[in-house]
Amino acid sequence: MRLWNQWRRRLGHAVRAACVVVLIASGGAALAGDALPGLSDEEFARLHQELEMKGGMWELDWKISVTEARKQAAKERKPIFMVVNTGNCLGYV
Amino acid sequence: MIAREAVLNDPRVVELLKSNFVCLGVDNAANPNTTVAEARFIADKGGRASTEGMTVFTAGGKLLGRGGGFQADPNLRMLKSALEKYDPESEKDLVVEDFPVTEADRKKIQQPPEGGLVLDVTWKLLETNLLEGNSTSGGTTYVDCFADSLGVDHLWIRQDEADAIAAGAIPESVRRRISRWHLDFILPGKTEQLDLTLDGGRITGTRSNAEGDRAELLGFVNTKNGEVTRFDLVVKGMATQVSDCGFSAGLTVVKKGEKVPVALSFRLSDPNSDLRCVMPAKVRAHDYLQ
Repeated sequence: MRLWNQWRRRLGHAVRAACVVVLIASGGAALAGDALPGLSDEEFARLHQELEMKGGMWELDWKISVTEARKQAAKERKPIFMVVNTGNCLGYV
Repeated sequence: MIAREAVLNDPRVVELLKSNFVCLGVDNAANPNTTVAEARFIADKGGRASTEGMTVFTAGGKLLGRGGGFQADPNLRMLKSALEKYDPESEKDLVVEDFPVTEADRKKIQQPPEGGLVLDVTWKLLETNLLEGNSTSGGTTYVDCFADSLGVDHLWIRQDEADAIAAGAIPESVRRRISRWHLDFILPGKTEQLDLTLDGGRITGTRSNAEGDRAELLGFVNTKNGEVTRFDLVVKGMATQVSDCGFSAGLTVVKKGEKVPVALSFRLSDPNSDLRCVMPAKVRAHDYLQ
């Protein structure tokens, strides 16, 4: 009987300890669930590539100085194509 | 933005421009990049356009074509017609002289800080399922143009700040500039906390606002002989609608009241491109470089 009681007490301690572990783990999981996962190296690489100014109009050799454009046009014997905007050349061109 | 996406990114237009024209971008309102004399020179060649103007003229100043608007086809016709009118021999003896540059011109056309860094700042929506048209997007006509477009700006970094980054620390002034002019423009609310750690060339961090929205940051810095040779930072968070005459790119058409995933990138500008010298949108803030 004494052995049974000892075993029961030990079992109780083990169950309580297991419950504490489960509670801590679930609490931690809940906290982690509230936060956005950090950016992985793979996602960084994908987004870095996607956000690059490439292709289309970015392939062109843009001038942002009227005088430099005129000098190059005279040298290369080409006409000047000018885009005028009411804002940042990069944003609106 | 619409002109850029609908006209200048048309492959036929790009191909024609690439081999036959010198391309020039002019900002005639926000951060003008023309001297007084240059503005006078282009005034009768489309230089006074109030929105998107597109013209073709010779180095000597002869107007060959006027276009503009948001359609590729009419501009393509204009370019071809201008090219037919262009006679390369007509200005073969032309020597283009520099116009006088005044002190006011130098103050107006600001140059990147000497010895500092110029970063391209770009941003894009990552999902396009919660969009709506508005007056800037011409109703629903150009919603797709905005949805797929890349927002573009610059960030300037002073030489002392660049030195600090090369030595392994991101100065408070750079963090503040990143937050104030870029994160607070693209991500909702004001930056309440920006945790940025640069450790062994790797940048990690988070940005949060008062409402608890969080964005994640990851980046890399390389240096050589005390100089920054790589600065790449990507930020991912949620965005809401931003109305700013189209400058906010895809954020222009985010459905009101909704949040859409967005990503921003900061990277060193191409030192060989003249576009590197386009001024940051907020360069005129009196404390921009502080």
